[in-house]
Amino acid sequence: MKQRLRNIWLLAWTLMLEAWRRREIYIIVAVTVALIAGLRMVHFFDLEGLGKFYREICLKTMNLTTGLTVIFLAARQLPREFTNRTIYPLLAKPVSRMEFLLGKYCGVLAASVFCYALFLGVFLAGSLSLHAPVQMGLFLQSIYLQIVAFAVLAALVFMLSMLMTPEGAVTLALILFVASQVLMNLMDTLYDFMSEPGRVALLVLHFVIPQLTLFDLSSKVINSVDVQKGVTRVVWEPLAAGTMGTLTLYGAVYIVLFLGGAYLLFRRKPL
Amino acid sequence: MRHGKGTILCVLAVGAGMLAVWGPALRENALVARASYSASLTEAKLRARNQSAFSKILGETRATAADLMFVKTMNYAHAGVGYAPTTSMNASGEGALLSCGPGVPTLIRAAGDDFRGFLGNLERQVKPYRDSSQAHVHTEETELMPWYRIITLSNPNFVRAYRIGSSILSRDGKWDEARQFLEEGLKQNAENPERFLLYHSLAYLYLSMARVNATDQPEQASKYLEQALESATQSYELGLPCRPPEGKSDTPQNGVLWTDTIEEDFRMVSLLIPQILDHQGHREEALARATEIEKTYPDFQPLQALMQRLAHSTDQVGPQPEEGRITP
Amino acid sequence: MSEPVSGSPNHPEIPVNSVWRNVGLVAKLTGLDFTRRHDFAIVAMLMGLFLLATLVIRIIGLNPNDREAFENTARFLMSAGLAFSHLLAAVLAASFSARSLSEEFERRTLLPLLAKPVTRGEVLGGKLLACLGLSVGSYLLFVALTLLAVPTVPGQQALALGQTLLLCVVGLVCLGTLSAALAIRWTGLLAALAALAWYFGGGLLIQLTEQAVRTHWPALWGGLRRVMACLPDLGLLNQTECFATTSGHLSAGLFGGLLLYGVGWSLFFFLWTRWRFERVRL
Repeated sequence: MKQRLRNIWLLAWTLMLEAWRRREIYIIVAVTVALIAGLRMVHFFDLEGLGKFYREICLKTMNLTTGLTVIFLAARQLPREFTNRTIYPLLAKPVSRMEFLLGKYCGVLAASVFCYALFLGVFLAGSLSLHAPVQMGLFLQSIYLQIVAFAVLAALVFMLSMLMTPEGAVTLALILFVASQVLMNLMDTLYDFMSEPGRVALLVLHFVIPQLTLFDLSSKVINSVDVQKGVTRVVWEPLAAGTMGTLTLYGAVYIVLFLGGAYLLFRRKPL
Repeated sequence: MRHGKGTILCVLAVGAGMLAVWGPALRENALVARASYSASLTEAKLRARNQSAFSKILGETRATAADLMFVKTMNYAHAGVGYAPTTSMNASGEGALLSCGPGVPTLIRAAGDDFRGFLGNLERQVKPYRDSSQAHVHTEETELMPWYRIITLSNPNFVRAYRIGSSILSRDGKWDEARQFLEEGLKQNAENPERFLLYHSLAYLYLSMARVNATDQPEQASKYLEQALESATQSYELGLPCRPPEGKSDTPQNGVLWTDTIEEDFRMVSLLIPQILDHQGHREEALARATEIEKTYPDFQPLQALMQRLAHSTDQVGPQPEEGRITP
Repeated sequence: MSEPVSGSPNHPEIPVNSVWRNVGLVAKLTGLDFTRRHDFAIVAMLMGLFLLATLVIRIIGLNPNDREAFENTARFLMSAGLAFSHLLAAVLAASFSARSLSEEFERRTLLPLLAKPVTRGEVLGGKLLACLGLSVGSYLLFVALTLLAVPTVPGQQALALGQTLLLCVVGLVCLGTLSAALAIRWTGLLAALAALAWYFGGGLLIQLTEQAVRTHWPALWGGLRRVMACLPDLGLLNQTECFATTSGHLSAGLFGGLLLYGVGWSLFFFLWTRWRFERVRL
C-alpha cells in the first residue's frame, strides 16, 4: 500500500514539474493575477470598500481560469503518453495502470489547486487592502467545493480523453463547463413545456449530467456581508454540515464513476 | 516575399492612414446601426419577449451587455437573490427598490414546486435564495456603483444608470461626483430624447444641495436653488414634446417610451418649477407657470393647491413672508 | 533545408496554374488529416448539440395562435440561433487554423512536406483554405439548421440575411488567419484562445478604453480615436441582429465599408502569416 501511494505521488510530482514547464499555464496565471491586482487599483467615484464588485470579478475569473487549466491539463495527459510512446517505459516499471491513472489524476488536481492557491493569495491580499470583509466560514467552504468541482471536471476530462481525441475532449468539456452555469436553469425551464415522457427524460438528465453549478458558492460569498453606515452584518451564513456532506458525496459519486470509466477504457486500450 | 521593404511599409502606411481617417466613422456607423436594432423593438414587444422560455432560461429580459449588467445590480441590491424579471423593474430602475416586496417569484423554484428532489434542495442552499413570501433583503446600494460606471462606459445612452448612480452618490453626500456623473450623461446624450430625465435628476440633486446648505451657506443654497429651477425648466421643456396626450403609450413618441414612472417623474418636476419660483418670491411668475402646467395636468391636486395659494397671495399687496416648503 | 526555387537551373519554372494545384493538394491533404484524426467528430458533436437545441425549440413550441407572442419569440430564437452558430463556427475557425500549423511544427512533419516541390506560401495557403473552408461550411450548415427550425417573420429580409452571412464569413476568415499567424510562434491552444479573445472582446475593450479616455482626458480622445481605429475590431462584422430583429438591411455604404474592412484585415493577416511563416527557422 505504501509503495502504491509512493508511485502515485511520484507520478503526480512529475506531472506538476511538467505543468510548470508549459507556457500556457504561466500566461493564464500571469493574466489572471494581473487582472485581480489591476482591479484593486481601479477606483470608482473615490468610493471605498466596494467589496462586492471586486469579489465578483475576482472569484468568477479565478474559477473560470482554474477550470480551463484543469481541462487543458487533463485532456492531454493520457493521449500524449500514447502519442509520444512514453507510456511503455512508464508501465515497464512496477506501476500498475490504476496507479498510473491515479498519479496523473492527482497531479492534475495538485497543479490546479496550486494555481487556485496562487490566485487566492492575490485575491485575499486585495480584499484586505480594500477593507472589504469576507465571511470566512462561507469563503473556506466555497474553496473546498470549487476543489471538488475541479476534481469532478478532471475525472470527466480523463474519461473523455479516452473516448475521443484530446481536442474533442477539450471541446466537449469546455461546453459542459461553460454551459454548467445555465444548464440547471435551462432544464428547469424546459420542464414546464414538456410532455410526460419528456419530463422523465429531463429528470434523468438532471441526475446523469454533473451539475457543476451546485459547487459554486461564489454568489453567496459575493453577497455574504453587507456594510451599511459602518455596521457590518452577515447576510449569508455558512452552509450546514449536512449540506456540505451531501455535496461532497455528490461529487465523489461522479469522480468514482468517471475515473472508473477512464480506467476501464485505459485498461482495454492496447499498447 | 519578393517585394521590397519600402513597398511593404508604404502599403502599411497607406492602410493605416485610411483606417485612421475613415475607421472612426465606419465604427461609429456600425455601432449605431447595431444599437438601433433593439430600439426598433417597442416596450410591448420586449415585454412579450420577456415571457418567452429562453429569456426565462437566461434569467434576464434584454440581450445587451448593459441590460445584463443592470439586472446584476438588481441582484446585488437583493443580496444576490434573483427575482423573476418584471416590467416595472426594467422600465424604471429608480422606483424598483421601493416598490419591490413579497410576492415576486424567484428564479429558483420554490420547494413545493420542485421536481428535482435533493438537487433542488441543494440549489436553494448553495445559491442565494429566499422564499417569495418573505420580505426582501436590501443591501448597501453603494456597492452597485462600479456596475453603473461600467454600464455607462459600455452604453453611454443608458440614461437610467446615470440617474440611479447619481442618486446613490448624492445620498452618500458625494455631491460633486453625483453632479459630474449627470453632466457626463448629458454630454454623452446630447441627441438623446430621454435627456430630459437627466435634467430631472439634476434638478432634484441641486434641490438637495440647496437644502443641505440652507442653514450654513444661504447664498450658496440660493445659487443651487436657481440651478435647480434651470434644470427643472429644461426637463419640462424637453420632455413635453415627448409626452403622449394620455400620459402613457405602448409605442415610443419622439423617441421616448412614456411609462407610468416617467409620467410620475415628469409631473413632479413640473410642480417643482412653480414651487421654486414661489420660494424665491416670484409669485406672479410662479402662478403663470403653474397655469401653463395646469393645461397638461388639469386634475393635479398639489398643483391646484399651490395655484390657489399663489392666487390668494398675489391678491394681497406687498411682499409676503415665505410660506411652506418645497416638497418634491 | 533547401526549397525549390522557381527559375533555378535544377528546377524548371513552375507554371501559375500549378500554384493553385499545389494549394489544392495541400488543402486536400489537410482535410484528409482532419478526417483521419476524427476531428470531424468535434464538428459532428457540435452539430448534434445544435440539432438538439433546435428540436427543443420545436418542443417548447411557438404558439401560432398568439400572433404577437409567436413573432416575438421567433425573433428572439432566430437571434439566439444565429449567435450560437456564429460562436461555434468561430471556435472551429480559431482552433483548426491554429492547430494545422502548430502541429506541423511540433511533429516536425513540415520538413518532409517542404521537401516536395511546394513553396511555404502554397503550404500555408492550402492549410488555411482547408481550415477556413471547414469552418465556413460548418457555419453555413448551422445557419441552415437555424432557419429550418425557427420560422421567419415578416420583416426579416433575405437581403439582410445575405449581407450578415457574408460579413460573418469574412469575419471568420479574419479570425482564422489571425489564429494561424499567432500559432507560428505560440502553441496552438494559446493562439486559438488569444485570437478568440480578441475576436469577441476586442471591440468592447476598444470601446471601453475610448469612453474612459473621453471621460477623464477629453483632450486626448480625438487622437486616441484615430489610433484605436487602426486596431482590428472584428466584432463590427457581426451584424446578425439586423436580420433577426427585422430592422431592414444595411445601407449600401455601410455594407460596402464593412466588407472592405473585413477583406482588408483578412488580407493583412494572411500576408502577415505568410511573412512570418517564410522567416521561421525549421
